[in-house]
Amino acid sequence: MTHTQDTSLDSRGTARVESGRKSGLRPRKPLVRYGSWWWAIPGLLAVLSVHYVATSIGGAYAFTDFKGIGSFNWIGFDNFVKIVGDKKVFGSIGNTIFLAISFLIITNVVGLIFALALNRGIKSRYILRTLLFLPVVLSPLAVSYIFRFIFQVDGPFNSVLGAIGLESWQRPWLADPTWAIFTILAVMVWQNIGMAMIIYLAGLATVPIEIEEAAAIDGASAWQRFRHITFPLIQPAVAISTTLALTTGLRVFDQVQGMTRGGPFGATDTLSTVIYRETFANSHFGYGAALSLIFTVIVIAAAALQLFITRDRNAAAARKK
Amino acid sequence: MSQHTRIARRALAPVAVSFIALSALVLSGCSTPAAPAEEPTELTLAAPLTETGDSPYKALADAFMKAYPEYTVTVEETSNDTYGQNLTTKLQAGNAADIFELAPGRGQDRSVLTLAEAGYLLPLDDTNAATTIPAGNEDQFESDGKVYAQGLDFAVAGIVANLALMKADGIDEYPTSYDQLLKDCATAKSNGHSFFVIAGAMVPNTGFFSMVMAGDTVYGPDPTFNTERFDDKVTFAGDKGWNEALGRFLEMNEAGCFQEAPEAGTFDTITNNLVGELSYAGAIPSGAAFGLGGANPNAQFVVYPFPGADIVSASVNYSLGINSKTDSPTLAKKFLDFASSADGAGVFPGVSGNLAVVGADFGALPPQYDGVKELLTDGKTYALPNSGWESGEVYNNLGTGVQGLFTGQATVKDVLESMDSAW
Repeated sequence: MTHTQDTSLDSRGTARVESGRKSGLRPRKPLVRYGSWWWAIPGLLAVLSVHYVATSIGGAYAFTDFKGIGSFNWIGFDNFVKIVGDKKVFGSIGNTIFLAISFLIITNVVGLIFALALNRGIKSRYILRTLLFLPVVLSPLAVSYIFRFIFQVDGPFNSVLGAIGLESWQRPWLADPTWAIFTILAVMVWQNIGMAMIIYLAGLATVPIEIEEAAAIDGASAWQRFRHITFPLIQPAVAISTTLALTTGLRVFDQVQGMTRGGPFGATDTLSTVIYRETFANSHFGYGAALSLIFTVIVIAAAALQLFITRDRNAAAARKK
Repeated sequence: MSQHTRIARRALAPVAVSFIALSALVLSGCSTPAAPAEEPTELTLAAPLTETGDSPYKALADAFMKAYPEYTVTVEETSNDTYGQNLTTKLQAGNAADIFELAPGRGQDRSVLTLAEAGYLLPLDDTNAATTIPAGNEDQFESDGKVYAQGLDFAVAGIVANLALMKADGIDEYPTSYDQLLKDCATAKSNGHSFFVIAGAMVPNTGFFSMVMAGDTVYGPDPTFNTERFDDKVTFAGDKGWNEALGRFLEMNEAGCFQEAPEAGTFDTITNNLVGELSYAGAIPSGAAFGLGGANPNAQFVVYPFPGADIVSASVNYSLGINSKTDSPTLAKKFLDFASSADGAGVFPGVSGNLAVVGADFGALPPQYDGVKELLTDGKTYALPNSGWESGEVYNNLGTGVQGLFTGQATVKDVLESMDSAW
């Protein structure tokens, strides 16, 4: 008796033999198996216990008056009520949102410009890409300390301004209530442009050159080619880069702590630095945990909103059809 | 016998064997009398990392091991920034060192009273710890009548001034009044110098400077201010002395007493300005007078109270306590007794540059202490105020508030009210 077999790959890449049901016989086991679902149980348990259970327990402290040592009392929502009346927290939320949005826009716009410039054509593009990406691999804290030195009153930056006749621009950059936050933003952007550029370069590599050439032959300008061909095709890269930039901007800590410690007088405080100070310097662990919970909700909501805005609408429409 | 029964028996067999073995082990443990515990001959000592120079903790441990070669003391140093958090985490986990460094009073995570009240410290009433606590500092080491820590050295918190530079600018002596100070500030400015250098961006220095000034305006006139604050009889914002102390920052800044952009100053600024002879003086721990003098032999650094004050802050700088869960309480107490003995009392301050807590002869102090020798001899001293404050946040608000005064972001009233609110 002959028996036909239809061998195919399923979604896990497992070779399946589809013959049983059609012929009325009992389905056979796959010829090649790469593993069973239960093999993942130890890993899942580890992730759950180390990540989610530990974090949830930490979150429970938000409802206590724990001071970091000794016993504590359950105080319900008192910490959250205190947060609502805390001016420092609202100031830090404003700074966090300002830094996150400015960082997102500047890093992505400049990163995309660099990616377009270094995508094709320029001979030295590989060296330039390396140079631009180099700051990304440096420790943010180390970079912050270096820039703290650069922006000191008698530091190199003010010296350069003086040397080129811009004495009136000299100021204590990191202790100026107006300029300190812009100085921090500049350092954040400087260090992270390379990451955005690399993501956009990866996106640009997927854009077929033939389409651009065809558009050029049809008389499309450089802007029109970018607007109607390149940009729509790198939409996934835009989503990834902006999401990363937004979460990085919201979580900013190293640059602020390394350069100003939230000063002068709270002018550069972000939610992260307030959480750190309340928890570890002031030993208000319960209050710090409550702030962390609020911070987590803000980050999740912002990331979800941003992903919704930058979703690939064409792909979604195509799936509906 | 069915296949299922065989499988179940096979699976249960190891469990049954383990249970029997465990039961035997437990029973044998019950029937065997416990051997008398013998204390280990090794001690661990946790301390914050010394930023410059040699570690005084290692020097003390080495001296102890030299005196008692049969014992070993291992010093575990961690960064000063994370030391307190590290200590409290280990204490709660039950794996902290046998002996550890503590800050006198309360308000920090490593404070003596905070940890003693939480049950993490061994009472030291049967040691010589009480002899290491200077008069006026007792309430920072005692809880419920028991002593919980031992002082290691004694530091003066005052103004360290370079007399040689002042004389070169025509100022013959350290100012003896606040008004004279303002005049000397003008002289310094006209010579391209500043009278004071302050790390305005650093809470520890702005807070320290404030406490040095508060000796003149608050703790001299009213030594019991902290106790009254605890009892809610006074407030920072309502106290004339505190208003005057912080108001002086604005007056002095207007008179040009500080370096350019004091709000941006860091610890590097203090070192550079004092060693590089750009400023006359700074509010820094007295031990720094020796290090600064070593870096610039032309300078003549002397410790003084704030101009016009007839009182100076002098208190225990570093102290040690014993873990209540240590396996070596006897050896740990032996170590502390050595640190306060005739042989050991000079070891720690010999490296830290501060004064010995035991047997200090104020009349025979080095010339760097000439400016405060008389006050120390007469006992005109007060303990650093923040070690008696309820929470570290009060000191933090004072420190950041002074920077806000310099930048114009805050008023004296704002700063003092924020301290009251944090209390």
